Amino acid sequence: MKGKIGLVLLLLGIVIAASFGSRNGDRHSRFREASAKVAAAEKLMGVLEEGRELNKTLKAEGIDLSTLSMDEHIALMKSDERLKAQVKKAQSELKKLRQWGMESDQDPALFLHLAEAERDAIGLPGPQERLISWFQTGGLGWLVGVVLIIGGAVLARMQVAEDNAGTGTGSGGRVDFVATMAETRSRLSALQEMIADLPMDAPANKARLAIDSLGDDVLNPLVEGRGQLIARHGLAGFAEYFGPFSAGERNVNRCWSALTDGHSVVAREALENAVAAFESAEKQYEIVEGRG
Amino acid sequence: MSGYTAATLEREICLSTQAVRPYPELSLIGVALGTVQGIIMTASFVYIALKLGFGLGGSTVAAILGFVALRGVLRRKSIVENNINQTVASGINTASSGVVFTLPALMLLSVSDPTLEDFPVGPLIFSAIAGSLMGIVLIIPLRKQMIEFERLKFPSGVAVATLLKSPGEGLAQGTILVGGAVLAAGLTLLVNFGLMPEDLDVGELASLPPWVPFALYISAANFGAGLLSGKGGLPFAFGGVLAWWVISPIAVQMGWIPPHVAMPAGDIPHWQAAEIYSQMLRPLGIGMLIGGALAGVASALPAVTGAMKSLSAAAKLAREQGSSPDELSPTVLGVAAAAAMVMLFLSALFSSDEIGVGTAILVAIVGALWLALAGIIVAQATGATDISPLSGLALIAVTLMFFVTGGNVTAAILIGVAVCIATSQCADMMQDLKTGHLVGSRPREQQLAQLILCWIGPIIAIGVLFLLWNAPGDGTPGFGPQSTACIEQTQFCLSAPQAGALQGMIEALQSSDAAVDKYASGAVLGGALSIFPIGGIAVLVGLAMYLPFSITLAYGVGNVVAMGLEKAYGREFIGRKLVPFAAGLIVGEALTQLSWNVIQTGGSLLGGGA
Repeated sequence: MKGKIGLVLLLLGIVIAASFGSRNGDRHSRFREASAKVAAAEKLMGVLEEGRELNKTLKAEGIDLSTLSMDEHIALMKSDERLKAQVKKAQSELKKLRQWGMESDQDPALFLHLAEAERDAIGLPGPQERLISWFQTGGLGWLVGVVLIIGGAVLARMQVAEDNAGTGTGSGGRVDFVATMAETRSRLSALQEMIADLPMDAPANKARLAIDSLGDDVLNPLVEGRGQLIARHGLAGFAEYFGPFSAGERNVNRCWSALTDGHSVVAREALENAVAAFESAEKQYEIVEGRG
Repeated sequence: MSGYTAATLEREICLSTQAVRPYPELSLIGVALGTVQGIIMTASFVYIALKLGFGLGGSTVAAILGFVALRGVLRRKSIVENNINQTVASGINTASSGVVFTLPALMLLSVSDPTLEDFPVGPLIFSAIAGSLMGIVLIIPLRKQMIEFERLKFPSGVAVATLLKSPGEGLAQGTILVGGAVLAAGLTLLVNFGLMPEDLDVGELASLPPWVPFALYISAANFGAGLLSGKGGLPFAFGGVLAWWVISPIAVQMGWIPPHVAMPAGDIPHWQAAEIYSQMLRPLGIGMLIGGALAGVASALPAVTGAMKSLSAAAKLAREQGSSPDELSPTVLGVAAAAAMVMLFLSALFSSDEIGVGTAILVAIVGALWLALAGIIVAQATGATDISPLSGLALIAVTLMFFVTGGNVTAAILIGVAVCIATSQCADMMQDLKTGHLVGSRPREQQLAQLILCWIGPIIAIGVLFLLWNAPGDGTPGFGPQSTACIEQTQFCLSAPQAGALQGMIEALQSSDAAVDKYASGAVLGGALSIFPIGGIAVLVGLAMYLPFSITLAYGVGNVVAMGLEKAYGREFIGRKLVPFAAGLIVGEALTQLSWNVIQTGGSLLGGGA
């Protein structure tokens, strides 16, 4: 139950905290609105600049627009794809800028200048002001969200602790480190026998399948359930025995690779190292358990 | 003598003679092959990253080429040797993205500000190598924490391991891997030829406003990474849903993104969506990444301390027994870290006449601290999702350095180069170590190989960048001021989009526009989330806010599909069928994309050089 309430609080808290945390302060919002107008004006100026560049290109090709009659001009605009596209683009941007309030006879450069002046009058808040302004606007909601998250996390942790102690109602299988190690020892011993006399470059499919099944049936379930071990011993205690356990696992993997490569000597060596590492893990586990 | 027959004797002789055959791991051939591949990939990936704006991982390609060269041509049967080859190649190549995301910004800024033109090359190279070295030595002590204790997935690392192990996996799994790769290649080609969109925009079809996006990123590798992550990747998808289907509509409905009174009605929803992403979610996501990583470091401190103690004990025991330990000793790491710090200090000191000794010391300390934190963030994000927020963290690195150096752009970018390279080294090293864990390599051999050769990548990447910057005015591909390809705006002009973003940010910094409010609120939120007993939840949710939603959503679909398959067919099906298939998707897309880019690059060079 605690876990479920914790999750609900987490979801609620994160929605509230992230929403209010991402809010902009008032002055910053107004600055961004004004910046949008500047951006629109700049876009039109960019298109006009492109037009001037196109004129230069046309001039280099021997077409001087300023010397053409109106009819020639219109004919060219209809025939030249570059001009057609450019005019269409400029018209579209011009239309948008009129909606922004630009007069039909107003110079776009002047409009841009006025938009920049409007933006600069609001001014970009400095880092400290921005922080204060955000906190005044969204700080309280954000704080409530953070408190809900922390509350939810504490409840969820309590549930995990209860589950670990065997008193909780959480689901999931229990992991038994000692039994897993016993099973691992027995399987590794069988594997050692299996490859004891294996010559170099001999096929070792059976041994590799045995390693695969050791991973699937014995080692991986323990790895999946390691959260219970962490909850039981703390991360530091868990690390003491899970490090050697992982080294054992890695040596089992090395044995698999060496068998695939036909190197039975390295495979046997790796298996010996794995057995030693798992033994060390068992000893460390006992020490950690002994500490309570 | 009973039972000791001629046959037994023959078998023993056979066993003893065959046993002397070495099992190569950190071999000269493996390292040499990796170095050559790394150099070629670095040079090509610098060009590709300048043109397209993103880097490519080299591990998969190196593993396949290693397969062909080592196993096929040289008949060397050693999975772990190929792992070293791939570790070396990707370790060298990883510098390319670190350099391309940062240094071109300084070059581009120098066009409008001539005082930046003569930035010192010596300290630049020094700084890049220091970053490369420091990234490796700072992340090695976290191997146990991330790979053994947290069991981060590192989908690309798993894909490479699946590839390396394929000779022993049997025909059925090999077929599945190839099938996945072929499917990915087909999909990638469809997108590249424009026969399929990059994003499948369901929201547009359903007439949803842009601030409630519903699009799926068409990428086999992204979907494959989602499949490999399964249930563990769900918080990432949840973060995206929260950002775009909850926070975004709330922000619009509550009037938190007011458009300008005069804004054309048709532009408003698009403007609001862009504002929500750039001014709200993205910076908040970066803040959460920072807070989550800091909290993660704090909570993992006991385990990391324990791991460091066990490294020392193992090194001591190995010295006594005359054997080699599993990992590099803390002494070696400490010496390398100290050397890198000194190099970073000297780079800062000689980067500009305005930087004094005190500032240089501060730069080295702050740079190293941020580098460590950013490295952990990138390693965790890559480990959980296969996606790296490198560019965002590089922006913050330069911001930090900008403030520490009192607004000195040259010094900020020079140290930013180091931080960016270090950060990508962290993710790459960890990914290769994950592969190594799965194939049973000795971590020490991998760490040593990457550490010794870490200086090569930065030199190659910087050299290629200078060549492209100084491209002559004869149409040769380039991005410099003399490049006629750029002046005439032909396809051979390299746009350097990431550097453009950094350039924009530096200009914004000069006008004091940094989202400190979002970074701060996000960091606290990330810290609070980290208390919840789900590993890496803050980093995953933060990363989801930082990225475009189409990527997160498609990744989440992969998670859900994997969970459904596990429920229907069991865990064994996942290991035997889904993992090779997903690995095939990642490998297939990486190879196809790389081939595509190489062909395009070749075309550009042939066409432009004339």
